[in-house]
Amino acid sequence: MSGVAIIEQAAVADAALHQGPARRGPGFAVYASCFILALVVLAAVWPHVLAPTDPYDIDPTSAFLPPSSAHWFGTDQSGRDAFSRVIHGTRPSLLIGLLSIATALAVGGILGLAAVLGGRAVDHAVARVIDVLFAFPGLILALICIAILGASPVTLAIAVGVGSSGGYARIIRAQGLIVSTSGYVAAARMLGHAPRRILFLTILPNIARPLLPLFTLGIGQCIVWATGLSFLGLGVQPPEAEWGALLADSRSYTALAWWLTVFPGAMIAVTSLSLTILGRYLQARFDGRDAA
Amino acid sequence: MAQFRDLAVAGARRLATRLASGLLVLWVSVTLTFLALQVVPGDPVKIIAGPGAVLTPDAVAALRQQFGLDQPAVERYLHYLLGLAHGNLGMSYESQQPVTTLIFGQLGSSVALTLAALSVAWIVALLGILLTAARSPVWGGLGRGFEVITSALPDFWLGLLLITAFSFKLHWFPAIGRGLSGLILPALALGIPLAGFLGQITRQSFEDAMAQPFALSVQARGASDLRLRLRHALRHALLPGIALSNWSVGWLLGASVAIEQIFARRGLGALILEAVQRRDFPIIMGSVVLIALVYVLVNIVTDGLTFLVDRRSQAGEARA
Repeated sequence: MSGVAIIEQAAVADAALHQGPARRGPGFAVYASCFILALVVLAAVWPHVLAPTDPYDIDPTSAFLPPSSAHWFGTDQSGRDAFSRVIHGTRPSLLIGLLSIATALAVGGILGLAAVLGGRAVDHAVARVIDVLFAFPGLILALICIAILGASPVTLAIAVGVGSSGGYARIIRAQGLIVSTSGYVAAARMLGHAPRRILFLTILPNIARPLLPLFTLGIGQCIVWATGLSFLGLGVQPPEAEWGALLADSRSYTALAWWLTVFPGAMIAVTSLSLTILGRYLQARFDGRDAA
Repeated sequence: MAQFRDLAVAGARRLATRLASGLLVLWVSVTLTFLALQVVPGDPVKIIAGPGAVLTPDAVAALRQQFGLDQPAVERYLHYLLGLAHGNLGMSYESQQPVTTLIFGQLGSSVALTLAALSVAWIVALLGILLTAARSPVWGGLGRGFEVITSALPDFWLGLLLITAFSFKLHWFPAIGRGLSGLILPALALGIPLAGFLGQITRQSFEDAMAQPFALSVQARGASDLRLRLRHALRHALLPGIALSNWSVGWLLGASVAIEQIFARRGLGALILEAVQRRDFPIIMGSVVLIALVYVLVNIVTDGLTFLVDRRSQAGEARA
């Protein structure tokens, strides 16, 4: 008997060792992600600072030049500077991503809060809708929305937002149910606060707080989906400089000019990776504080 | 004997609950899509006739009647539900063929790609876990880094990179391939990002399992490290990944829309994309029905797999 007890004791101690320190500060990866995201924001707001060359400047004599010191990412079929096009493509790609996540949070928020505040019957009906939004693959849901709304950059952003709203609706509903039955909301009611004040100052902030890491992770996901749909020709169209449209444009020349495929995609991948790393870090921090 | 009968009864009850909730998802999704398609601007007759077609009023009326568009929305809705119960999903606007025929024509290609991609994803994820999880921090960091990076990779970009490198530069695989050799690159493009997601989830539960007292007692019995990992820890670690099967299959279907375009494959993704581009609403409704059915089916398979892997759920069902 005692032998087993010793083994179990040892295992518990071992497990504690394996887990390491409970809270870790931001590591190198988090700082690197923040630096990259700062560059991405700079490229979106002031693209001319990073890429002074005009992204639409055609020069047929220098078509399909491989990457060099004059053209860092090479040139495309019309001799346009690929680096400049990728940098100038940041703004539409990022804006569509942000509009998507705003739509996702709005749809998720309306459904989730309706379920929480609307009483039993509404909650049951909304829960079924959320089930369906959740059961459907997000990208397919976005495609169905584009079929209904038509293809344009704005409808693309709305479609991607609706496509990813299921998860947010579910989380907001669950969080809302926890918050609205919590002790501090009961306390606020007993103190005689007006219902509107309780909703805006007590319930909503407590629902919103855990959403920040999800928001960060969600932008990355939305950018990947939206550029993917643009790549399929359902959003921003070439010759417009946008990451998905640049990839769509490069498809006819993949065998000829690898740089036209590699760099726009690498921008999507690096941006999405940085947002994932930052989102993960925020999630770990928030979870840690919730547990404490 | 009585124990087995109890198990069968419990299993049947669970299956019935799954089917009922699946039917509900099917009904709600069909209804929501039908409602949404009612508000779409534009006349379906124009889509049926094709762009630029000039039709006499008689021809328009005939088309309306053929596709049931002359009837009020409520009647069309009930008619659709009735047809659905009989396995009739209507006619495509574009090709004027039954939607079920079109979907079944693409099913084989999509199922092959989905199974191949799922195999790639699980093999890569499990190899990563068995080699790097619960080892030194350096190995753990490498494995974790690989998983985060692959899960953030845009699948369509990975597909473009694979086709550029292995088809155009190295000529190892055909760019447009039928059969097995044409399946490898698309399965990798879909499977590698999915492996990142599955790996992250499995790693957590694997490391938790390896830190449990039972892991030490298995080691104390003299079992090898490989046996501990394969026979004992993996069994615990698989459950969260299996629970995500439904999400995985849905993710693969969504991602296959772009991958099928890149590798010039036919499949459900390509069918849905064409339906969206041409606004072929009967096909879109049909895809919604199909996805809801796949959701129900995968849920049932997931339940079965969980039951096989998790001895606790078997004991629980027998007692319940």
